[in-house]
Amino acid sequence: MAKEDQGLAIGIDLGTTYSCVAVWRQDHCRVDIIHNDQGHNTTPSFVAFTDQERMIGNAAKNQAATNPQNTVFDAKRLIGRKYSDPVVQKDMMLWPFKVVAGANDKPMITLNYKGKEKQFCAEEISSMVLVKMRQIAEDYLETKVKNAVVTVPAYFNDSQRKSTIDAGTIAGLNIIRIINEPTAAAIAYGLDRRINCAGERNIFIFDLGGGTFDVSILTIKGKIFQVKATAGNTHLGGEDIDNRMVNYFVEKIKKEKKVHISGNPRALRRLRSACERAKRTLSHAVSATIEVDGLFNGIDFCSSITRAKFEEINMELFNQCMETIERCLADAKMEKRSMHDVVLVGGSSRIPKVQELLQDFFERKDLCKSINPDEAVAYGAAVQAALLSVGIKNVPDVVLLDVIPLSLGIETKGDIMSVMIPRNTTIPVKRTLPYGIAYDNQSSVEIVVYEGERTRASENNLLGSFSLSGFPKAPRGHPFDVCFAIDENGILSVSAKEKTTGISNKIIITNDIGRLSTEEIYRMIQKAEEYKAEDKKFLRKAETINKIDYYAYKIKKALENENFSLKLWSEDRKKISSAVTKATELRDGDEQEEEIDVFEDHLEELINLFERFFEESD
Amino acid sequence: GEDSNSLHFCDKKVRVTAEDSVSPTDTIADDYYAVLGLLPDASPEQIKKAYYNCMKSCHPDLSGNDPETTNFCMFINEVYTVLSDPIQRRIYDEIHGYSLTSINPFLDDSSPRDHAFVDEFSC
Repeated sequence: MAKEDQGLAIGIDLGTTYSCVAVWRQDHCRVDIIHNDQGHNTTPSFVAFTDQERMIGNAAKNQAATNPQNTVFDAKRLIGRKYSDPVVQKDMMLWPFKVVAGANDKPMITLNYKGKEKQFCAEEISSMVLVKMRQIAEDYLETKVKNAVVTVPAYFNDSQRKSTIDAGTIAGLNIIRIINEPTAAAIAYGLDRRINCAGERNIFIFDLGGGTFDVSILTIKGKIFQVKATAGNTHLGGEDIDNRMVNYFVEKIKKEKKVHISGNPRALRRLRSACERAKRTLSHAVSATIEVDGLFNGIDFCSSITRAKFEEINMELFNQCMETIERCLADAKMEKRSMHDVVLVGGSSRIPKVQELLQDFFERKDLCKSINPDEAVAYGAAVQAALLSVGIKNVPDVVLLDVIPLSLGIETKGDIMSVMIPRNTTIPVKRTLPYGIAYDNQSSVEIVVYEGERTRASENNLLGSFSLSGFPKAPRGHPFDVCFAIDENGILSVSAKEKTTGISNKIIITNDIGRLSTEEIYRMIQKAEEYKAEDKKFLRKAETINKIDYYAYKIKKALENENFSLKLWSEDRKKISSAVTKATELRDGDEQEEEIDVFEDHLEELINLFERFFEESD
Repeated sequence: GEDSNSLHFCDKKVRVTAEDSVSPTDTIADDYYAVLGLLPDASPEQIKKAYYNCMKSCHPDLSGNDPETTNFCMFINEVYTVLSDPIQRRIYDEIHGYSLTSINPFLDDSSPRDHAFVDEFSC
């Protein structure tokens, strides 16, 4: 993507459970992790809807227990997936919000906003989180921000990446690059360590986050960061650990109290929050208590869990992590002994058992904990954002050589996947291979493009297809060329050419199945603008009501002063007190539904009265 | 030195993009070693060093997305994929006659000659 001269560019780590935003400060020669309005460096990736307003971030998460059906999280687990995907079907059973199948098997989140049923796709929910992150950055930088680098799990497939770009577009952001989370973390680590980094270093990034798990092996030499191999699981993280804890306690409650709470979203939400807290406690303590007052039918639930039990119920997940590590090393054709550093990224990498297994695997090597596991990804994204922007000074000199996580190929006769570009190939890349037609006198061929590691083409992820037709009559095996090109964003374009006639056809895989069309994105941008306007209106109203309250209070106080009160004409006094009464009504009454004008008009009246009668008396 | 290398790359870039193809038939660009400014007996370390040097000048992140440079970068990635993998490199060497074990059939007395084509220099 071209370097764009549009001011500052930010780096956003759009996480499953938490998001983080950072920026390169050229004057200070460093990355700033930007804190939100609550003073936290990470913001929950939550969006909630009520009868009155829409909330994003901390506000949304804080009210999750009282409004579970209309509080959406985990959008990253839906993005770029189909409704019928077994993963989605399984997740749905644990979500308190409703998901239904939309057009093209697209999952749609259904909820209530201002008393009306609304539907959102995952891209829209993610776009709301992105808008929030951008807002946080704009408040901090005191300037508009248009450009951003957004990170995705290294193991995200093509549709998941493109849907993430769509989310950015809906949010009104110009996503200048999508980069892989472990690679971004490697930048943070590499820059931190560069001073004592002589020669070449092999580093192993272990990134276990809220919803996804990635491992990457990189070689860092000078300013070159070369990814050797990457592997992962886009559905393995802290959320899954929480799920197992919730299930454990649901069973325990069933046994001990003889009640089933699995059908009660509010009870499940509260139990989940308690489990998440207990999990964090277990990273430093050997046991943790779970206490939820009035969990269900007036039952106060109180129990405890030991670290050993916690490890037992999650061992299967931890073992999956270890298997992925071996696969990655095998792909990189490297020995575990040749790793110089093992770097921990992601909140779940704090779990002692995970660290223990990792350390055992790497033969008692010390694990690097020098970078903040929650912020490293946003840090790296901010550096990359500065690198890609014009006119930013003092940016660290880094060249990222990343790879594609999944093999790309076409379907050949007999549903066989013919790999054109194997996984872990460095991008950008272009490759042309000759193919032959399958039958005598075949006048056209259908090029069907897949992504994945299965031998049977149809078991992989279908990216798109096109046909090449108008061949002269030719025997079986008549040659044509297929060319795959992947740009630095990992966007694939496929072309095919028949050599003798020069007939060719080409697609850039953009509108694959399930992806939003340009019109749909445009409509969602409009919708997002409307929601933004409504949010603003709500905020303006809330601020107006606050001001009304403030002036009414000041006036009342002043009137309590008899010396002053007696000086007023009785007519004025009546006018003032009726204005105060109306203010109280507006503040407390059912008139909250009224249009904002009513409030603003009254505020103006109050301010006038205040200025006329009271100000000079101060 | 690095300077002479980068000059060398620029020269090749023009040739490669003129072909608009990843596997140019141009004889010099077709020589993967020459493209990287190397000789066929280069060690893996020398190959890696040359590749890294090349990426520093042609990676799209740094070149601001000039299509010709990106095209060249794609080609260099392809070259490195072959030369960095021992098996692929051996196959490439065999085909292009760079292998130490490969034998020029014209100079090889053990293979029968049919006298239809002869190497004029060995006659």
